[in-house]
Amino acid sequence: MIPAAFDYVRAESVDHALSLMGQYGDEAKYVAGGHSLLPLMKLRLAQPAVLVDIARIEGLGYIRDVGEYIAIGALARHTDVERSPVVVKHAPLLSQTAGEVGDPQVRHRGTIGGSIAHADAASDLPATTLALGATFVAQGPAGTRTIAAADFYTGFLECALLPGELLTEIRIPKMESAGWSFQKFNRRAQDWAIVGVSAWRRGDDTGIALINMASIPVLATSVMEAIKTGASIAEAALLASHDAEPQSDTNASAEYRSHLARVMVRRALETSTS
Amino acid sequence: MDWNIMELVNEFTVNRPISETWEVLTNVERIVPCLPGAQLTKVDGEIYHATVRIKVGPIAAAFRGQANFVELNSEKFYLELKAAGRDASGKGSAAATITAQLEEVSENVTHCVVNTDLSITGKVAQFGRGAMEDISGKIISQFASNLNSMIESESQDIDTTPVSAGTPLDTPAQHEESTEVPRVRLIESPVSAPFKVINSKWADVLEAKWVQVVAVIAAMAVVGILARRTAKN
Repeated sequence: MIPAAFDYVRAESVDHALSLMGQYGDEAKYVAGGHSLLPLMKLRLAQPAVLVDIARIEGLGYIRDVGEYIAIGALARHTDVERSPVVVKHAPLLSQTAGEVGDPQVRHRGTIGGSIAHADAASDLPATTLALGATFVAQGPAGTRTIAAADFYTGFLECALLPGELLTEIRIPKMESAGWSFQKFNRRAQDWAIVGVSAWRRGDDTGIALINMASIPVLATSVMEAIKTGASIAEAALLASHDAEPQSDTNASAEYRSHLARVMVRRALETSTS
Repeated sequence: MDWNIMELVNEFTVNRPISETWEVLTNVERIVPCLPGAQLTKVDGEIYHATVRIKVGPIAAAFRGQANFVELNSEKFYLELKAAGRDASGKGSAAATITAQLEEVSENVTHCVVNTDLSITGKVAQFGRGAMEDISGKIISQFASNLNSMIESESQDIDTTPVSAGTPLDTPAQHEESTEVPRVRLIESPVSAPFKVINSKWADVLEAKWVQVVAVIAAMAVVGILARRTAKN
């Protein structure tokens, strides 16, 4: 449980971080809260030669209402997101999700940008950003670009960020009056979800994302279509695993995961509707 | 020792006649450069030594391994390969029996089905087959894409001699009799860029037994992540 040797450099600004990453290249990793990367380093699965610490960069932990959407700096801690009056008011599903990540220590150190860039299908925040149709801002050597959440998660622990690019801002559309529900099934409170569902509903419009039901967070598109075309919640929920590829592991079989998804999507929709 | 055993199936298509596809796929020195992160280091008789670097998200691994053909049937377009590899930093090791069967779809289109019986151990053995399938699929798709590009760019140079003639590797029996090839050769080939998953789209491309070696190894790297699931932060 002791990481392999690595060098450590503290970035003073986003530009500094980008230039450090350009200097060290493939062997370097950004670290912020370190609550996804460090466990992998302790297991010696990840052995970056250099850590570029972005956690002390000033002014990247903001949470702002900018009208159409909420702008969240990548360094905002989960606890900040959970408790932000702006998030509670305009994106309560995100607040709830941030409040259920890991345990209190994880929530006080882990950052929203780190959780998203780590792109773990078993993590809570990536699925919620997908359900809410978030947009991500990435800065790289070639400039700044935005990436839709739907295009961001590309594979097992893989996302659309290019080498050296830094996720700097998360934009969350306001939920307006949508009903919502965050469902997480696990054995102990701090565990990763065995299956989770992040959902909102406004009339026939829904956004439903599944946690740990594939190698990436996935939208339950079939359920969303069914609701759109007038299906009942019970009927629609039966399609919950239609767009997923659940896998068996030590926690649950694929069949059990599919069952959980059907039950939890139904509960999420019932909660969102009432 | 705790071994985790699984079977993986991958398929791809090459836009070339079956004989030409077979010739390319059985030429180890030609196809290894198509394999992301792979470098052929030595050919010792019928045994091929290689290193493979793999990067999946934050996890990087460098595997050393070797492989040899158990069967090369140029009439049935069927091959069987045994491969084994180990990560230098102790993330795990893997052994695999890989078979590939080519089928003629049409005159210029060949389909290849690859079966891998994979045994893994070490940290990676805690991984689910989902991650393995994900990564092996991506590696094969990237390999196939590289291979098709290579074939395209070399299409003028490819000779049209029948499969059995001039094929670098014939059946093991024939190979024993051939003495003109030096038994041990060191290969000085450029290192290709490490395997990096770029996107999740399964291209309809192609593969070879070596791809499977890499796939196996990639899978091993990934397996370790599951260990984290049970580790407390």
